[in-house]
Amino acid sequence: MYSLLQELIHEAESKYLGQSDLVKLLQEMASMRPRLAVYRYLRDNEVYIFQKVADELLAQLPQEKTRNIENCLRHWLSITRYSAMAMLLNNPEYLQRHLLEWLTDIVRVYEYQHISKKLHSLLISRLKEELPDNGIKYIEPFLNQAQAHIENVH
Amino acid sequence: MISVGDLLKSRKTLKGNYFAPYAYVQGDFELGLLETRLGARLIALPEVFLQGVYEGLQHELGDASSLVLYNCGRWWGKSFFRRFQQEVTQYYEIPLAQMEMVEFLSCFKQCWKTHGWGTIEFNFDYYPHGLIVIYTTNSPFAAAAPKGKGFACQLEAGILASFFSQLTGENLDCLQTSCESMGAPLNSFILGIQERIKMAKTWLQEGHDHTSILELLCNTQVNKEG
Repeated sequence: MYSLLQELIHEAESKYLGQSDLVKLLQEMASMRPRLAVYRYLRDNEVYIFQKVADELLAQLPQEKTRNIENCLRHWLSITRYSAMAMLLNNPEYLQRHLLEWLTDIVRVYEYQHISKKLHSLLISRLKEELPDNGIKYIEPFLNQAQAHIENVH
Repeated sequence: MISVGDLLKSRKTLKGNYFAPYAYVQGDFELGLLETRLGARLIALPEVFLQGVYEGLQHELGDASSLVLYNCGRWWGKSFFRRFQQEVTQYYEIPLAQMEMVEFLSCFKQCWKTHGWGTIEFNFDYYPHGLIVIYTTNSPFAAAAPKGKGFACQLEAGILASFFSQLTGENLDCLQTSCESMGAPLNSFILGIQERIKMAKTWLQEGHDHTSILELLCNTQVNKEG
């Protein structure tokens, strides 16, 4: 939304927008309602969703130190919050600049990529089950973007 | 059992990058002010102005201009540290001293980048020898300095020396050992206590390069009483 709006504002300047741009704008605005619904759901069910993910994660990684799992969970709580805003703005760059870049060195030190991979997959499965009206399609690209970023940290 | 509720209540932050460019650089455009998101003033320096600073100082002071720039950097670094400390502490709600090292460095790197000073990386491999090696790229100072006329990032060296002196409580010095303005792919700096950097300066003047200076420093002990 935000990047598209900016693009349209820059494009318009001293002229009226053309029909195709107005259609793009309308489509973007139409998708705002379901995005907001997903945002509200994530906000109101944060503890419920993540507690389920945490319990499954502990069961699947019995050898892993709890502290490592906690660190990874804490960062994924953060990733999901920033992803939710990036989803509202429909702007992957928001997630990149506001969180992922900053997280790069931290992930390198914590070395929890293997936990993150499991956590991401559990979170996606959980959200697929829980989010009504196929809402997963709005948030999933941002969660995938974060997981891809974490996987690429060496 | 991990309690997510407790994780959310812990003092550890869920906040991300305070220095994210769109959020950090704000302004009161009506009053012609650029500001950080907490209201400290920022100004944009045109490259031509920096070129003028290098030309002017060289013309007036000759070789002494390097020392002047280094001392300006030290002065700048002192204020920069205060601002950084204040803003980071306020935003993350944790004193800088209690912040995890990796989070602190991540903040510093993002801060450097968002101010338009290029990128900065730290190498702690030489930390057991009392040294921190720092690399910067896309330095606006190296870009504005005359090409091939010697090391040009004295301002950055001064900022780094002063910033980390304040942070560690030690009196540190910083020496530049490679420079983009001399055709190097990056700017290298060695940060350490003054006695060691003094020795490194001598080796640099004798023509040793970055790697060889580091080797020499690692093989040499400093007699602190001496």
